[in-house]
Amino acid sequence: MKATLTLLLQIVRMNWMPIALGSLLNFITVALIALTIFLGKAPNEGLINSVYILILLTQSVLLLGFSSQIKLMIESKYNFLLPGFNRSIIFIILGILFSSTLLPLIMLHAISSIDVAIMFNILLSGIVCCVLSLYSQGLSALTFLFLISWFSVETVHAQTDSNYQPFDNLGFNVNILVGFLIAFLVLLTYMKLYVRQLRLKSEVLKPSTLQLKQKKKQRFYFAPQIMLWISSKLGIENNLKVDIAFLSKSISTNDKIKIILFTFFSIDYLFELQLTYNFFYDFVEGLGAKHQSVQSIFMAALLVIAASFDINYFERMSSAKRFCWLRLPVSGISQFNSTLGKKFFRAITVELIVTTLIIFMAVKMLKLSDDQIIYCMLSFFVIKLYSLLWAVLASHLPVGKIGIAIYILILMIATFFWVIKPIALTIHSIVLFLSLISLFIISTSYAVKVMIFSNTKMYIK
Amino acid sequence: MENIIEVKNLQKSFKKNVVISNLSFSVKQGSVLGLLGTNGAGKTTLLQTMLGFESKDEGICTILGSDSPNLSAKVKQKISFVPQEPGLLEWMKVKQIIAYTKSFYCEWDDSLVDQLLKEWSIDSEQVIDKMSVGQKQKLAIILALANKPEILILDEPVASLDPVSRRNFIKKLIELNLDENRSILFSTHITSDLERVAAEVMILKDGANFFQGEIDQLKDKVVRLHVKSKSPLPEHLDFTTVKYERSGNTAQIITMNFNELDVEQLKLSLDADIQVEYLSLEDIFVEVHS
Repeated sequence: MKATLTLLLQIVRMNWMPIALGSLLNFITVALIALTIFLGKAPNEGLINSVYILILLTQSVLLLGFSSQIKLMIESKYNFLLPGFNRSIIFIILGILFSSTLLPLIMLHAISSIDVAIMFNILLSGIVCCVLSLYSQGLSALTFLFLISWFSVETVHAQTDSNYQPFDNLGFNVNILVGFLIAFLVLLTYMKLYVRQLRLKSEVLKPSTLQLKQKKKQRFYFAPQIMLWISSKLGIENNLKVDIAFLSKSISTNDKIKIILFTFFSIDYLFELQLTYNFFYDFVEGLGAKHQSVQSIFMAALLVIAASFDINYFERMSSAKRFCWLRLPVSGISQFNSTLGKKFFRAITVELIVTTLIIFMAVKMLKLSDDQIIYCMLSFFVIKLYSLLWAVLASHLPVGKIGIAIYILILMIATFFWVIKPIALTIHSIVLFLSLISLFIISTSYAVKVMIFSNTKMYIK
Repeated sequence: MENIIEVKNLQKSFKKNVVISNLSFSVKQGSVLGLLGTNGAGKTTLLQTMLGFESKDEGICTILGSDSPNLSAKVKQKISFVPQEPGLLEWMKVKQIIAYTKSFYCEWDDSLVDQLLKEWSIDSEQVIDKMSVGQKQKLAIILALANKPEILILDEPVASLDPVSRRNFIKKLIELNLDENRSILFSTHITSDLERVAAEVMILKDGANFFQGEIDQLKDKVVRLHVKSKSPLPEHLDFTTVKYERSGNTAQIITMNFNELDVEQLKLSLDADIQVEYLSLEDIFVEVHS
């Protein structure tokens, strides 16, 4: 018990911000239900929807907050030999699942007749993501996104078509699938904790070939990898080395979220082209929010995420400069700077194109009025400018905790005012606003963590 | 004495690369076994396979009666391991990792921790990430010693330490072994350290057990013979040698079983003058691998 608590304390200490936020959300969820029970009031649809959203948010924030730390702990070879370590980790995982998912669901079920299949599926989404996050946080986040979207769409179908039962189209009892998946996940956890062998990750690359280290985080760099291969075939050695140095840093969570959003809207467009149903709206409505009130909130979320500048670019740039200058003295400083500048410009251009595409698709999908679009774009530029300014400062000044806190605080305040202005303050707007903030804090904290901890790491030989 | 580590016919390969081949050995309670081998001989793989960091292909590996890799929590209480690279949780402070590690163990020697932190000048408020490699190694050793392990397994633990700390550490190992009858298995390249602390040695060559026994026994078996003959020396000798270098009427022979060899008989058979040179452990190690 003492070991479990110490382990939990260390995990929380490592990434306290999202965990504290998740715990707060969890507390609000349980308190909301407890208050309803205490007051003896019959829960209405709005309350149940809000609780669902809160559970999902709590799940996502807590799981994302805990998962990377738990994974780190599991994969640390030092921990494997600690007696009772595996047991402590299992207790912590079960504890997270119980508090984030099971407890609110049981309480909710006690006060209203909720469809058991839906309950099972929310529980399943928690377990799936909890277990998968032991393997890969990215995979877990995507699975979570997929499951939540799927459940939401199923709920909307059931609401609009009285003859339709959720998960009817599966062709078999959903509980069998749930049972099978849970068994599979238990097996995965067992493999991760007991059967898995902690192979030491070799840092050694083939000395004869110049290549990017195939880290999991760097698999997004598929296109640059091909370009590197072509450059190596063409014999453009210096460019190749600069490229490698520049791309060797892992990409930020900010970028990953952009990729997810891009995929999300692309799928939505495909659905819209087929004129079947609108995936994005179904997703939003499935979460319980009203069609109109949610538009601006989601727009704000998208804008803040899209407008946040990737502070890693500057860090990558200075790192590449340090690395390459030591190894490429023959090129001369002006040629070297020009090559590096081109790489930097290219990276920024790609970032801007992706951001613009996301904004364009979001604006088109949300069918905003002209005033709203102007307001959005102005806000976008303001946030982008501030973000860029902070990134420039951060690349020249030591980034302390206070600096990070100020950055997050200013963005939170800016976002808050932005969100409050165009819409009325409803329960859904507050909940969705919290989702925006939590998502933002997670992305920022990871970006900052990557920036701070990758300073001394160079993945190239 | 009871065997507390038993390895039988252990086999481990990475794809087609066989790292450990049919290896068998045992460690008795209260003994100190030094593991010697060149880079890539399979020392680290052996230790990690024994502890369950790597899966074994074949063979049996038991520590205190518990099968590896699924060592029970009870057995883990009695084992400590210091890896080649400390593998500490780098974001923690020294005092935090001490508290963290302590919480997993029933026994913990706080006074030893304090004493070693002081002796090795480690600030308990320091963040591990900011420490030097040597300091991290020292911290890993402190954590490994603090839970009073029955078995201490060390993978090149002193490679990053300065000579003073190395001596200090060796002294601690000797105290652990002599005063508390703890068993120690450790791999190292520094043969002088090994000679100070270990009575027994195992030489790992190409993943196989080349020799296991007492160091003195090894020194008695492997010696260098300087042979000066009146007539040309034969191409092959009729006893086992590690090395046989011939140049006309003179030769240098590294024997494998000198204690079984009758030198007088050899002198007669080769019609030669033979001088026996006893080798240091380092020389033996070099000759075995040359």
